[in-house]
Amino acid sequence: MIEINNVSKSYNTKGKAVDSLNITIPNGEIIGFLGPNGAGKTTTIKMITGILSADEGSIKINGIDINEKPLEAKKQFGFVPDNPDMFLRLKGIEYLNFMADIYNVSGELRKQRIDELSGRFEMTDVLGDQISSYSHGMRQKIVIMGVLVHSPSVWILDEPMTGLDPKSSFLLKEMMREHANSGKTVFFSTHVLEVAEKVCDRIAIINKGKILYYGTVHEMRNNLKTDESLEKMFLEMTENE
Amino acid sequence: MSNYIRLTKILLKNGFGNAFGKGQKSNKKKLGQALLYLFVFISILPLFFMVMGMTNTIYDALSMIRQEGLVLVLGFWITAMAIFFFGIFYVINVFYFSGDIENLLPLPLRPSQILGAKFTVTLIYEYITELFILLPVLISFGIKSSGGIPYIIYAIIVFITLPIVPIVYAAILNMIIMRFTNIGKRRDLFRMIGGIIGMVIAIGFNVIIQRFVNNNMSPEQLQKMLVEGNNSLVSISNSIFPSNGFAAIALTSPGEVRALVNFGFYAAFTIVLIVIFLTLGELLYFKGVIGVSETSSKRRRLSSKEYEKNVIQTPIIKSYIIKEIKLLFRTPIYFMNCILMNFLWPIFFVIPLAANPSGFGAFQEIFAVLSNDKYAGIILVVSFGISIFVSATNSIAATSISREGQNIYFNKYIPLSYKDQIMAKVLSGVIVSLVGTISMFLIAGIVAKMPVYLILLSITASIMAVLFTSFIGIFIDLRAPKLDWDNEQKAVKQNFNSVISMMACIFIAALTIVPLVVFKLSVMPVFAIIISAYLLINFMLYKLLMNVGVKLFARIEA
Ligand SMILES: Nc1ncnc2c1ncn2[C@@H]1O[C@H](COP(=O)(O)OP(=O)(O)OP(=O)(O)O)[C@@H](O)[C@H]1O
Ligand SMILES: [Mg+2]
Repeated sequence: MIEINNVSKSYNTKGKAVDSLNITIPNGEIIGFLGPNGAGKTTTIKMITGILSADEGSIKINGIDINEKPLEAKKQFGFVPDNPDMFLRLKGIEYLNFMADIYNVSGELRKQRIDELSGRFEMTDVLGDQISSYSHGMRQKIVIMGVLVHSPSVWILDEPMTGLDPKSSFLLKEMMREHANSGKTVFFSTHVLEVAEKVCDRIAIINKGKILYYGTVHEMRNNLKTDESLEKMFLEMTENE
Repeated sequence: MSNYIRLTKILLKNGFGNAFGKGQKSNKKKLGQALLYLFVFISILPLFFMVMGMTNTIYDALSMIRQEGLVLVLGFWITAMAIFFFGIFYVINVFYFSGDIENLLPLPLRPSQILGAKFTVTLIYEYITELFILLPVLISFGIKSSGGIPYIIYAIIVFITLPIVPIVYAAILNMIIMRFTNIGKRRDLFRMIGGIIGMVIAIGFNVIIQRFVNNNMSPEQLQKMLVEGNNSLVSISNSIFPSNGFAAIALTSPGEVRALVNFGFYAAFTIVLIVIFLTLGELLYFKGVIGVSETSSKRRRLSSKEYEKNVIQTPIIKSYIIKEIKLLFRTPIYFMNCILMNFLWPIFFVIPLAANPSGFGAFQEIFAVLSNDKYAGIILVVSFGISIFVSATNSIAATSISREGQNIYFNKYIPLSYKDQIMAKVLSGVIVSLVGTISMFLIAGIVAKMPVYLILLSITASIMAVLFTSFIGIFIDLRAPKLDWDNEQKAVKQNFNSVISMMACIFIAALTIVPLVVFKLSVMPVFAIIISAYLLINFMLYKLLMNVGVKLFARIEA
């Protein structure tokens, strides 16, 4: 569960990147985070994960405040950043093992998980190579595997599908579903509206730092009294602002 | 030509733009930085005046036999050697490993245009080196010899052009190495080995030339020239930089015709070298630089043995330290600037001795000193000083936050406290530096028969030194890390934090070392004072890091 209460953030004196944000992301659901470029998605996610501190408001993950008990809160989630270019000089296997060390995963458990994950993501043959030799999609996969290896209860993913091939993207969606069904939380941003429509239990639409809509796609249709596609509705909603 | 000028401008703007942290600054920060510049400037002034004073002294001594021109030769030689050695690192970083290469290669530019622009940038950076060596020599000599307007004109041109020859040497050496190591699947490994071999060749070559030049004269000839006066020695006293000799002659007799002639030789030699450099560049550069960022990869399943070896649980601090050290070794720019540098200093100290034909005599004397108990106190002080110097100049701790660059956000979302992260970074610097200093002391022990107890004391003192420089370094980097870089070069070389921390370390260490030298204490008191003083200092620095340092880390915004 993620509780965001009245959170604001501005990078400079002009305007707010995120403006009085209020949403609660419950357990057992997949929440999609939508909005045009520069709407404030990454900024929100960075505040949830403790990368940025909010100017005002509070954020709790599984009931633990990220500002008051940062270490405890950070143990609750796994995070996939929007840019997977990190630790390029480490080998894939070294990166996964390093992540497992950080999150204190036991030796036996990590072996089993790395084995399974690399099989499912078809990365077995490249684990011994440096990440700098990976393609964009492979880098994305190794970062996702780095999160899954410590099996956090809350998943926070910033545009995780970018660059993934159809098979891996299908696999990730399937895993998100499994995770939510087991009573845990998935929160991810995306620009692909079909994905949002198909996999998300609920969507949050943000524009210019403010939440425009938070609820199911079905409810949105009922509210607007149309049977238009999510794409149409999204465009109209963000246009009218 | 216009492409060359445009490219040079862009490279300069990119490089100089932000030697400090982030782009926009508040007034308070600007003031802080102005003060920092002032601090750097003031702490360097004594060095400047020291070189001026030395020049004056040597000038006076040599003018008695009318060979004062040798001062210039010496000044030029030291400048050129320094530029050549640092140039080897610089060129390989800027010409081959800097991140902009991948953006430049697709542009319709000739190799000579890229090389010319990069060469010019390197040249401009070298003026900073010259400020502290060549400038005071030129000023002192000018005042002493009252050469007038012609001297000033020659001196200015020499100042601007002197680095060209040593940089060309460094560049050609690198181009050849890079061209012929850019092969096969393990080219990254090849590169590093090639780099080390190049360094050894450069040093060896220089030593041989020195010997050859110096031995080539019969004593009688030498004597005759000496008596002759009239700066006759200037013309024969040159090594691998023949153009320096011409320049020195021009500057010793600026009003005369022979100045003009010799200056012509100087200019001609320099121009010919530039032409050779650009011509070779057309042939070698692209073949050496293309694929420089490729990483070798095996693309095969790990054997179960490799798998078992890699997938094991390690305590997080240890795991973090190993990660830091791996990155230092595997990133070519970090390897060259942080790791190699760490082991190269002893070689730098030895070159002047080895270059001198009577060097082995000098070695014997130094060995005698090292193994003599009478000097044990002073030797311990010197060992401590060298440890400070080596670990302060490798900049591992002082760039440990900056090196994270745009990926600093990783450090903020992982559940590892800032205390632990700081200590892991400090310890990775401590370990690498200690390997450097300890191996140096062991070599001194074996080669120079330094007594065992003295080696042990030196190593113990060295631990204190290395902790001290690492604490200072990371604290300074935490204050204003330079995260906004697009290539690794900027994180370590064009990072002001490493300069400040170097100077702060050397300054504080000098305050504690000088009294020990002045009072000529014997070895045990020296040891006791160093250890107790630095236990205290390090303890305070540790506390500072764990309180203020942690807050600074938390405040860094990604
Ligand atoms: N480091 C920064 N410094 C200053 N302003 C920033 C910074 N990062 C983002 N912004 C601004 O904050 C606003 C929100 O940006 P954010 O990155 O959160 O958008 P986003 O919704 O993730 O967009 P995208 O879909 O393009 O990823 C934008 O106006 C952006 O210009
Ligand atoms: Mg974004």
